[in-house]
Amino acid sequence: MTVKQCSLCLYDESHPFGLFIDDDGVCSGCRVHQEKYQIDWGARKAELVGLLEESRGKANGKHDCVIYVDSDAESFYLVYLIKKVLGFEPLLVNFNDYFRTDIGHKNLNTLRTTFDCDLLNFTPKLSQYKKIIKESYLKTGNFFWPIQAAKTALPFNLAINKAIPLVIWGGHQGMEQTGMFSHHDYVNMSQWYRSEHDLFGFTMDEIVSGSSLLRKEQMSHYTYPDNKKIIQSQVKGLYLNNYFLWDPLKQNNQMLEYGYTPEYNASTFDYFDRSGSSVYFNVHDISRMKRTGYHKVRDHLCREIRHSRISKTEAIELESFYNSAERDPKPFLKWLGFDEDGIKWFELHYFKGVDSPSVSRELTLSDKLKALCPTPQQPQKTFLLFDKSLYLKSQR
Amino acid sequence: MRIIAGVSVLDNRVVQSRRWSVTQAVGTLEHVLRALDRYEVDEIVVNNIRREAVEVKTSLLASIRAAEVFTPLSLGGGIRRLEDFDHYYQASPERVFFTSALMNQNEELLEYACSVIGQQGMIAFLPFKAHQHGALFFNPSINQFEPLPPASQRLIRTYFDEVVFYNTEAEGELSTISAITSAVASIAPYRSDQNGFIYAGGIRPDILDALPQIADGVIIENALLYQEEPLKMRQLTGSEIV
Repeated sequence: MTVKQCSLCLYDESHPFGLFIDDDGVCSGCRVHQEKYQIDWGARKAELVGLLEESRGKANGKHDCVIYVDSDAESFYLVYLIKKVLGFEPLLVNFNDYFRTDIGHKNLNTLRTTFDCDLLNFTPKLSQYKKIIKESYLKTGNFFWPIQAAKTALPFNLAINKAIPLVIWGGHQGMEQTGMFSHHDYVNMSQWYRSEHDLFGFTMDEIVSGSSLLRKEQMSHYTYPDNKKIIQSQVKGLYLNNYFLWDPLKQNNQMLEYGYTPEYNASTFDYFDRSGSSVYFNVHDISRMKRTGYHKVRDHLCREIRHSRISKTEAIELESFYNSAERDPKPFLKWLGFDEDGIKWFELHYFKGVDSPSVSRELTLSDKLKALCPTPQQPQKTFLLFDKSLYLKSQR
Repeated sequence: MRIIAGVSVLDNRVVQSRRWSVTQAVGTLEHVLRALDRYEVDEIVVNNIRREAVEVKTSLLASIRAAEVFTPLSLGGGIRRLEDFDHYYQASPERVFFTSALMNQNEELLEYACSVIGQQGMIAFLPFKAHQHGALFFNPSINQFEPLPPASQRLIRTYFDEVVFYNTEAEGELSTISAITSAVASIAPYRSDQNGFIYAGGIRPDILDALPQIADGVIIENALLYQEEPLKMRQLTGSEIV
């Protein structure tokens, strides 16, 4: 059976979220993107303000909502929207995944100081964390399961414990990539979406089963609250792409003004998205290619096609260019405790056939794209467990 | 009024359909069924849109088994022959629903199915759209809307327990209460007191509290996945939870 590709973007029907291509050859992702130009965003913004006002009325008086933040530019943008644009006070929460670069640490701390917010940082016990990362990798082919589980569960548990009725998320990936939901659906965060898509369909039981080293009772920070707690607390998770015209590259670029430092990686032109991680565009991108058949840069390229900053032809060239970038899994495997033989085994058996042929062409970005892609900095340190916690404006 | 979750499946993917046209892929049947089971709906209706391929039905049944749900399940879509019914019946559904067999008066199939599953397990599934002379009903075997055949009323009374009237023009949309009550009124001539009545089309979880008793049950199409809605919990604890 041939796999149909969208006539406008690079996605095809094999997208892991599922993708529907209509009779005109256009995918559901492109169709839902087109809705962005017909929506009255002023009215949507007013709706969000109403919800935040309601939340403020019910909350503990100190914080109006909870936002999960990381070291990437989207975190800056979420806090900027909620605090600077709308005037509400968020409580920030972060999960230390131990994979941060020096730039990642700098960005997270700059975010906290620039926007002057309370930030709770959860750092899991390293010995246990490495075990669950290893189990996740061996069982799902993706070591991001614990990170995704924690970053989706922590803010919800925190919101329930502190009686804050709203958790704010950025763009809904399923909507932005494949048009899983329309903007008119006002999709919220749900257990189902988390379980099926954020956690790749694997449950905690499946991750810990068969492992004598992991006990479910010790994993509460990875566990989402149950139905009863959710309904009693009435906490909701809202996605901001239902309330603002979501254009990540453009909006993240604005965050340079607030001290965000773009970080270089060889695998994409987008130095804002998921930056500050030692693994995301390396071993995680290799695993992604193995599981889904494409690298992260395809998501960036499809998004840029939809925002009319590149043509599909340019995107195809750029994809082959970035596919050939070197992605090195060794630092991660060493971090995990594999010896040289183990690393060789992995490279031979697990990553075999994932490499793309090298491309010698010069990279050329369209002018529209170039205008939004600043010169990035190279990280000096990777896999940093901790870094100094405060960056004052004068130190940037 | 029973709250029923409607799930449309195309090639083993749960899809959203709006105004009787598939628009979006949502997730896998196995995971969606598990979620709906957790949300404690009263019943789940799984409609296989790809009607012909037997291998699709096989993978659909495999997903249903893998999901291990305890919520009563109604299954249908493409049951045109005795072996189609037998195939679906392997998944041990509580109920099975029929459209083509009713529209084409395939009494042999209806009689057979009724003898196997019992009349309480038979649902007539009637997708409709409003028409100047009442309503037109979708016949999947010709892929068209047409008037309800006169003999169908007798078949419904003889073989079916409940009838689902599925408003295709409101499917996947958010209808107002007045639009819903008006659509319910438009199908009144086709209803019988002898059969239970289930309404579907344009009903979202957030209007359930305000919705009057319009039927014995209502189907919410896919929308349960838009929001965190543990329905049974809400019914048990009341909507004003402190």
